[in-house]
Amino acid sequence: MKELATIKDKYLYMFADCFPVKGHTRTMLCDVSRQKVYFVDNSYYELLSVLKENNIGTVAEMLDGEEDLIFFKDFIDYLVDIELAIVVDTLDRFPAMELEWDHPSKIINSIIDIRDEMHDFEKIFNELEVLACYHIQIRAYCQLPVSRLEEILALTVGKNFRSIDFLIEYDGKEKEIKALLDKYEIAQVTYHTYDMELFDEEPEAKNRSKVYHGSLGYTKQKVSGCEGCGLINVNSMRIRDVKGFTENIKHNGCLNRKISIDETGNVKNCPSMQKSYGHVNNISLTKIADDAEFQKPWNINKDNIDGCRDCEYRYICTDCRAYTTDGDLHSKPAKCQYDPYTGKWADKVESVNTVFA
Amino acid sequence: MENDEKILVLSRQDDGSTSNVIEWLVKYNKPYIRLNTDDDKARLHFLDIDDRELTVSKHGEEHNLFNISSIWHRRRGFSLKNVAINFDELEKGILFDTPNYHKNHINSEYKVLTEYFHYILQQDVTAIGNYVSTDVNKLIVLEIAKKYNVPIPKSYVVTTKAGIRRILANTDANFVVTKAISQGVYHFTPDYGYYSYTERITEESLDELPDRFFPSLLQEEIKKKYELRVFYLNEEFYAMAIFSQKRADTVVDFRKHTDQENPQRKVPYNLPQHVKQGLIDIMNELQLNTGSIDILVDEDNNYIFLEVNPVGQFGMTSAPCNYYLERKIAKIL
Ligand code: SF4
Ligand code: SF4
Repeated sequence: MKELATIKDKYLYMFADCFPVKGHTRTMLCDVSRQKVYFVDNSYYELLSVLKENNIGTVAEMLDGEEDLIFFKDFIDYLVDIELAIVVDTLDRFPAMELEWDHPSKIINSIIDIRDEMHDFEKIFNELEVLACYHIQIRAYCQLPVSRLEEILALTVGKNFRSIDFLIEYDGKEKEIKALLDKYEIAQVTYHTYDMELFDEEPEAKNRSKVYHGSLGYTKQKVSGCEGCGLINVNSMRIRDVKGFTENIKHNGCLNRKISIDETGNVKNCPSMQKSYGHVNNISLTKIADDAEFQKPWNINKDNIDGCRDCEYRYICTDCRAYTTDGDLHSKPAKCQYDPYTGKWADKVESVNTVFA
Repeated sequence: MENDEKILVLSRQDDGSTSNVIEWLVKYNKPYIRLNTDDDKARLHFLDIDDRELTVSKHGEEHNLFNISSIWHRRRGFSLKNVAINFDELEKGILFDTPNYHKNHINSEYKVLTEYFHYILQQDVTAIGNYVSTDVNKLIVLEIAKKYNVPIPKSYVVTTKAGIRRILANTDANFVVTKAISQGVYHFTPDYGYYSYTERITEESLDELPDRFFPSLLQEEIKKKYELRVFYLNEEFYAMAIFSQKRADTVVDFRKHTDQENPQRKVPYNLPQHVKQGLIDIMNELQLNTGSIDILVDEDNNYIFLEVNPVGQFGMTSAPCNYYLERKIAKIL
């Protein structure tokens, strides 16, 4: 512990990958690289802003009273201790992180829903390849014969796809599925409607809604349609990396550069959205991806959403634009369990729906 | 024959940074030809020095490399795999007493040829990297740094245990550090990654050494505040500070660090102007317009130059600092 007097000419540098996010009731300190968050009182947010411009001694002089000085010193010690900040001679060498976000692909990820009818996956995959969309989620609200799965995966051969994640109803065919996954390394399968006890070596896994056994994921929840999507609770918070964080600051956490096909073949931002841009068989995905109207939700960030703009979780929250409190594109997600004005989660019970997160 | 001007990317299949830059080239509709040292997909066909024709085919398309608009020397790009050679035959010993003679001969023939390609292809076009400098001599680089008054660590090459003892006796530092003289070992097989890193040598660890050994580079350890990894591109600097002092196991070299929960802190950094000038001088003398530079900042705020890697992995600087270096390179090409 250093006495304030010994560091009065120095500056407190909060690492550029750590961001204070001020909410209505408190401030989140988000350590993006280490994927950790800490909560502090909002007065410390102001303190951190002042520390960006002034040395520690000057800031100490602004405070009045012994007590505040002790809090100030404790706060510095705390930040240094959790390795969010260090004491430096000058801040000149340490610029803030540029918050720019950019990506070479027109479309980054895609959700494809299936139930009874099969889509023309050959056409879809060819178009996604042109769009440089390399991450695909396929959600089946039914059991999917292994042969079907293989047919779909065979169409990915020779393409640049990096991940194909399937969500399918449990059918007890683990052995065949596993053999298939060995063959297609980019594929992952999660079973829903798993009616036996979830197994896992770790006891805390009992509280989780989804467990992994080898390469397969399991959830007991029945995923009967796209309306199960969009729940926001503690588990749906995501800190990926600096790029993911800046994307969430600038763009929509869920829909940015996403294109989806619902179970009947309609092309949408996501299967749960009302607006369809046409049937996948009759329209080119590239054309839709270029449509200004289609791109609108990409740029709805949390600062444009009622309620969310006052929430300290806003830059790590995935968001949902399909189910909103009053159906408006700019209102708070209807299934959000958090009230930023009281700082309380409505639903402390672990949600069954993280499988979509 | 395709006659549109294209970007020539000389690389290796396994270089992820190349693929990331290419994603941006695709976005900007900039056609490119990628030649990999380690695959046999490209074929060399024909060279006509007078009529400016150097034909290479890839995926059934023929390209005249004299028509390229820019070139990126990420790796060598050309290799024996681009010419029809019977590798089995090459592996056989033909001359009885010098089994590798013909292999060496073929290699040196092809080396002259590829040197010529590299030389001729970077005339009059935008180039990133430089074929003469993809392999820099670490010791010469230190010499050049000295010439421009850029601080370097105290360095020795030793071959005996006694030599190390002599250094240890005459230094205030408790230990010195070994470094690879050429490029460090950096080799991955499907199951293992091998790479050499800096290690401390102390009186105790000396016991494990033989009396004489292969010449090794020893450098005095520097009490660092943090290290810098600087990506250099056309006199622009993209610097990153790496804080790795906190935990005992990362004090010497951060590449050894495996604790995922507490990775080292990597943040953007502004280099002081005098440091930039010294680095520009070094890079100009090396005829390099790009590279990754390692620097230590010691407790007295000295910037101590360690080395430059002309083909360093800039992705590891780009991502944590949000620099978009891949996009910058794609824009220049
Ligand atoms: S209020 Fe908005 S930002 Fe906060 S948790 Fe709910 S959805 Fe996320
Ligand atoms: S917008 Fe809502 S419903 Fe649609 S994919 Fe995102 S979270 Fe799910």
